[in-house]
Amino acid sequence: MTLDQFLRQVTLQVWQHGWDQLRLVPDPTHAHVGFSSPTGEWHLALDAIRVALEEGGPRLRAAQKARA
Amino acid sequence: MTHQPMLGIGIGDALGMPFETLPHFSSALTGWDGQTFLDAPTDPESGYSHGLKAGQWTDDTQMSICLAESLVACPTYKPEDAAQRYLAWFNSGDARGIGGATRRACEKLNQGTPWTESGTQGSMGSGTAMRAIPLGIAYRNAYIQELREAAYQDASITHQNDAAKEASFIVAYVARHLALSHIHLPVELFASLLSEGSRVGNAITKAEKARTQDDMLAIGTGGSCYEVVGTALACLRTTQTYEEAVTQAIRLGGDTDTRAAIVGGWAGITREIPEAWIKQVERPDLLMALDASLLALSR
Repeated sequence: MTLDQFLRQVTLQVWQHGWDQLRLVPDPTHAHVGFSSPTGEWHLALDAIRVALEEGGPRLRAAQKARA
Repeated sequence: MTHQPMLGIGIGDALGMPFETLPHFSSALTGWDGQTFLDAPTDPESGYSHGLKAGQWTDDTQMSICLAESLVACPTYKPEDAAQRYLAWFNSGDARGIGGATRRACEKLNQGTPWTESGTQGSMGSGTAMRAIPLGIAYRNAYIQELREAAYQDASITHQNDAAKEASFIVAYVARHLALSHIHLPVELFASLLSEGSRVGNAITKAEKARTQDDMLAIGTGGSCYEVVGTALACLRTTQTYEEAVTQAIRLGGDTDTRAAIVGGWAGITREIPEAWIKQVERPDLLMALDASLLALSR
C-alpha cells in the first residue's frame, strides 16, 4: 500500500465516521490531539500521520503493513 | 465563450474527482500536471468516486443537472419537483459519489417522507452548496430574498442545517452576482447577507484575506460546507483565468471535486473555458444546452 492509498483510507474513515472511530491509526496522538471536529484542520492531522510514518513510528508502520 | 456555469461545474468536478480525499502534499497531487483528466482509483476504500473514468463527473454535476432541469421546467423554483428529480437520480443506479446526508434524505423520500421533512438533521456537508449555482443563474434578476428562499428550500430537501442552507444561498448569490456582470467580488457584502456568527460568513471573511496556499489551507479543506465555500471563494478571488482557478482549487486537496465544481461553475460565468478541456469532459453537449436554457430564464 502506498502512502497516498493509506491517506485516502484514513480520510474516508474520518469523513464518514469522525476521528474517534478511526481504526487505521492505532496511536491516536499522531492524528487526534488538538483536532476538535471531524474535518477541522484535517490536512494537519494527515501531515502528522505522514511525518510519523516517514520517521518510522513503529505502530503506524505496523498499521500500514497490516492494511497492505 | 463565457456564461457557461454548467460546463464549468462539470469540468471542475471531473478534473478534481480523482484526487478527492487526498491532502495537498500527496504525491498524486504534487505530481499532477494541472491539465490532465485522470481515472479515479478502483479500490472502493479509496474514495467516494472509485471506478470512474477520466473526464467523468460526479454527484456535484449530477445534482446540479437535476436542479437546472427542474428550473427549466419550473422557472419559479418548486421544491417538490426538485426533490423528485433528486430521487430519480438516486434511484437511477448511477448516483456517483453520493454523500451520507443526501443518501439518508433520498432514502426518506423513497419511503414517502415529504421534502419538508426529508433533510438530514444537523448535516453541515457540502451536498447542498455544490448544486446551487443554477439557482443563481435562473434567479439573477429576482429579489435577493426570493433567491434566499429558494436556496434554503432546496438545501433543506437533503440537509436540515443553517450552515448548509447559508452555504447554498451564498454559492447561488455569487453566481448571480457574476451573471450580472459584476467582476469585483465584495466579500463584505456577501458576509453581510449571512447571519451573525455564521460559520459560512467566517469562512468567506477569511477568504477575503487569503493570498497563499497556506492561507487557504487554514480555512479548511475538508468536506464541510463552510470550508468548501470559503476555499472556493479564495480560489476565485486570487486567480485570473478559469484554468488557474480550477487547478488552484484542486491543488488544495481534500474535497477537490466539490470545490473545483463550485469554482469552475463561478469561473465559467465570466471566464473562457479551455477548448481542450471541453473536448475531454463527459457530455459537454448536455451541459452547454442547460447553460443556454438557464440563460434564457429571467426571473
